[in-house]
Amino acid sequence: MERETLLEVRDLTVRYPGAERPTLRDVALTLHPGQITCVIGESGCGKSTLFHAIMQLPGRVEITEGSVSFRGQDLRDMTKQQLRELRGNGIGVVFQEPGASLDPIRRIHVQFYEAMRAHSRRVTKQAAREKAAELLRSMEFPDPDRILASCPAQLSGGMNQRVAIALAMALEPDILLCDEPTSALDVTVQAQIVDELLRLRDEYRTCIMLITHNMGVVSKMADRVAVMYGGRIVEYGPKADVLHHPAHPYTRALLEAIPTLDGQPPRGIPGKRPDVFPAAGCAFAPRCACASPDCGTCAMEKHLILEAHWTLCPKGVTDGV
Amino acid sequence: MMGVSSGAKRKMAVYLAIFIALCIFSLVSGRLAPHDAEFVDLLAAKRAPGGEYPMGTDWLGRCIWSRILAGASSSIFASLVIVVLSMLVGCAIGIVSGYAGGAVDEVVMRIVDIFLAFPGIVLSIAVAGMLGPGLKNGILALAATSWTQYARLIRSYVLSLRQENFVKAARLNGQSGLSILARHIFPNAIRPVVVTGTLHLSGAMLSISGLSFLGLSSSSAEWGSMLSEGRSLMQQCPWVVLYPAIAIFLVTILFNLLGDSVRDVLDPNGKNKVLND
Repeated sequence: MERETLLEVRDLTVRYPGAERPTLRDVALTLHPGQITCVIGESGCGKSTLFHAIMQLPGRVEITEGSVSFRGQDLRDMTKQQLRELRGNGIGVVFQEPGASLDPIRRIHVQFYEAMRAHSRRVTKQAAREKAAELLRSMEFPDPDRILASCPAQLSGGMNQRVAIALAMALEPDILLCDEPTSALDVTVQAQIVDELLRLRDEYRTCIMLITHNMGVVSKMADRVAVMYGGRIVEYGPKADVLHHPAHPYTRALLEAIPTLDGQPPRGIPGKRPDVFPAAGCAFAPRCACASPDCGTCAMEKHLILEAHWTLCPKGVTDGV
Repeated sequence: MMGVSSGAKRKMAVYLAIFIALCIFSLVSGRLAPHDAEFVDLLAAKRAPGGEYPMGTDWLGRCIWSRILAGASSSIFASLVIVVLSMLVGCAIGIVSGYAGGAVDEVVMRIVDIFLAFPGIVLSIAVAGMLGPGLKNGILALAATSWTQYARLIRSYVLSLRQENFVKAARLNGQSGLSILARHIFPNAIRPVVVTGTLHLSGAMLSISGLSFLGLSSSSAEWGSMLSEGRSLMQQCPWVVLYPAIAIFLVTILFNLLGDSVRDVLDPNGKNKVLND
């Protein structure tokens, strides 16, 4: 399957400065245009670290092995100028808290202008405002002009988050990184944002990487799902395969933990996430229902189940599907 | 969720206009005085307000109205210069310190600590004593000791703003460090500084009169020194202290109203209530 690769994360091992052990281990992921990849997993599994590693904010995380490359070019080889160009134009971001990416004291239209101006000196205020209004209108804001003339504090959380998405989209990035864009919002607004992201994907063929806890969002949006635990991607594959035929015990446990309406109480995952993950073997073994003694030492290799669907758990292949 | 109402803006515009008018007035008011502010006429001493002397005369027969007009420049203009000077110096140092971080921050903040270790007025007196008397030296002495509060204030804001998501987002939008500093960090951090500055105005006005009372600043007419020199006559001829006190009162009220309205406009969320240490 020959497809254009936008972002390639190759065997990425990352640690926080000063930390002894890496927070991410051997993470590999490729993103293609028009594809939505959801990264799921519980808190502390390394989802946000992955986000930071991709964005290369200085002083945040330290890449010890592997690489992140955008259209074939390693991000670490980029000059400051190239990185600046990449940010916004190549990769846009949306944060978790609604509107956290909005400056609280500047009017929305000024923020659009500044974001666009950072990449093109020729942008006029008028052009930026028109472009912003058009984007907002396409996101079904009934009154873009009022929104643009407002400060973030005058808008609701859901509105701010949609404006933040529009702001990230204003530069038409190839990739949109969303760090739990819906988790701080109520359900109806969540649905709205999911719809809007889907529409943006269809319209601009934007590649979206979505970090989320929300299985509903995953099942609605994802093309590919990456399940993370203990700093590794433990299972990766097309949405239908991962959600309906989960191979890794952690994925299964995660899916069983979703409350349903059929009267069955959801089953939690026993145990607690350890503060420090073991260096060798399966990180999930201590909490795993089907762990065997050699799980603590076995090598972490990918086991292919179907095309593009793999898991780190050797048991997943034998008794999974 | 209240925005900046146009009423708040209008209010600020009005206060700002009065404030600017007052500043300009303070520069020329000395020439408008009906009498020489320093002219001693013992025959006319302690006259009650009225007639030739609209606000009466003090124990040396100097016209109080003239002295208030003449003193406006040292009282209003000097306090303004003190605030602006210490704000500029403090903000520049604080922003650099907060944004650079690391060793630079450490060194700068220890210097600030040294300044803060001395009581402000004592340090000002020492500096004014070294520089010699005079209004300009008084201003320098007070600015030299009050820049530290601005440096500390803006540094702490820069430090916390640097962690804010919208600053990260601006960086992730490809905006350069300098433009983030100028467009996002500085405008967000300047609001509490402006509020502190307007509150500092009245303090600066009292400080400069304190220095002149000690003979370390302007030796000519000055509201603060009129007040302190005249206080022994308060029962005998209250107008000697009444009018300078009213002048200080009105100007201080205006400064505070201006400070409040500036805050209402710059900080509509009320996130940064009066920050003063």
